[in-house]
Amino acid sequence: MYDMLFQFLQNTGFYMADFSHILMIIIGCIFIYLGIAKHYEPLLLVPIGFGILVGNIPVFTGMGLSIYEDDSVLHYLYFGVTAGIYPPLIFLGIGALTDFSTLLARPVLMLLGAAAQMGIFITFLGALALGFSPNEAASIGIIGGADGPTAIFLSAKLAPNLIGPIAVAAYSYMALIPVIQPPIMKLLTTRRERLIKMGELREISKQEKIFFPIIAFLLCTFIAPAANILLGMLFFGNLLKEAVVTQRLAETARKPIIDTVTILLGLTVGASTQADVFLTRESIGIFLLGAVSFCIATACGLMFAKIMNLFLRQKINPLLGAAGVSAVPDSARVVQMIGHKEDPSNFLLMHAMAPNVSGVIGSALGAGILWSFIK
Amino acid sequence: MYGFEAVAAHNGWSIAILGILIVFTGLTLLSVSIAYFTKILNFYNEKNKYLKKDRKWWQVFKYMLIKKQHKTNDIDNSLTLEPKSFDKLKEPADQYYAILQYLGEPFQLPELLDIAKKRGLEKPHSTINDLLLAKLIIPHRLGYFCWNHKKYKQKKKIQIKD
Repeated sequence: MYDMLFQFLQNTGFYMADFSHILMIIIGCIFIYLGIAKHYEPLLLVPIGFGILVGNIPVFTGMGLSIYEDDSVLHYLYFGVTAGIYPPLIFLGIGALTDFSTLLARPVLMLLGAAAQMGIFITFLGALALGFSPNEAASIGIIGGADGPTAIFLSAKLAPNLIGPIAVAAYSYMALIPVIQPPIMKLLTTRRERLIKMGELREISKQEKIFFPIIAFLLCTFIAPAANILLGMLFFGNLLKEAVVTQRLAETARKPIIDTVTILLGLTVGASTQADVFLTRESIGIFLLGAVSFCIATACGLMFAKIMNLFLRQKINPLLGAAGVSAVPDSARVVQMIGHKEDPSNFLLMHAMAPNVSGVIGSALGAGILWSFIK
Repeated sequence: MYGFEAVAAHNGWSIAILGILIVFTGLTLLSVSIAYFTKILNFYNEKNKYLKKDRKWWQVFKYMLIKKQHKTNDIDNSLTLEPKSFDKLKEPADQYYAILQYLGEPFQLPELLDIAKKRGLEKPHSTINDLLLAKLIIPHRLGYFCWNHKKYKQKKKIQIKD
């Protein structure tokens, strides 16, 4: 009987845990705290945080409990991440939630979304310079697109071993957008520029809203066919939303589907983030590069807006360039907040949504381009 | 390998420059396509204005190139209580007709308004008012309303003939 008791005690987590497990559990708790108490992207950080707890409980291998064991439940759920299934489904929901009317009202603002995607490619260069392989560098670079599903999708295809740290870095920095962007926005713009008021947006007809996803999908995927699945689901979701007759499907896409997939994605990505992958020099490099990529993307968007103003008769507020970072709608809200501080009568939110959603298209396009170059 | 040597060895510069150019080109083309598509849609929706028998083709293109949307006229129309022509109501009429297939008849106006808002239709109050004035929505009884199928079909037939 005592032997059985000792055997049981040796199989407990208390006996098998080491420093790395405890540290990862603390990190998971911090994510949960940031999500619940500080409201930093709670829909993502809470599942990821709890997933880190689930994935870092010490277990015996061979019992089908670890996410990396073939016959475990978590492994089956994780298949959606490694096979790149969950990110397109999330994009379906994002498309069904997104209103492209501000983009259609002033298409020139799309270029700000394009400019912000320079952060992806500059980070890619930085990752190569730090010694990462091209596959890994592309997966790290896409963090600069500030698009979690895109980052996970590309990592799953090119560097599955880095999905955990890349996803955690991408979502963490997305949650920290209100902290990262304002200093850069104030540094790179003058007060006079921040006070620029944008003109009224024209009305968009239902016809335009219905034709846009079809035209945009065809054009973008003909340019970068590798972006087919991400952009296809994004624009399909949007078409379901805009076509009144498919409202039921749109509601399903933007509620049950996106919520279910977000739960599974967050939980499994968190569970895959284990100490041997996360607590390494590579992860530190990924986190540093992630921070740099967000800063570069914001700066590129802002500078491009200032360059555009040299040629435009109707000037745009350069703060909108920061909204090209495709963390929808946080970066647009930050633009509104900074503009509002300077002038309470200046409402930039709807205008900022245009480069914001354009950034989503740009980051998916960037991912497709990197995938086609690197593969 | 680290630094610039690593970047050069993996064709990093080419990938980065080409990638940025392709993203820019793609979104620029999309931006231009949307801008011109709006003009094409406006031309298609108002083709009856352009395609009058006595108008020469060069005049049609000239009209297209210099035409700007005159919003003041639209605002003036929206301030009157006269019913709008079916041309202007065709698209909203089709949309609300589609909603009524789901809602059923007879219906209450607040229900129709609620569904129109949920589906993101623009200016639902104003549109329902226009449909009432155009007698496409007619009172049924006891505060309920119904769709005027006869008038709707008649107007659609006239549109098709045109």
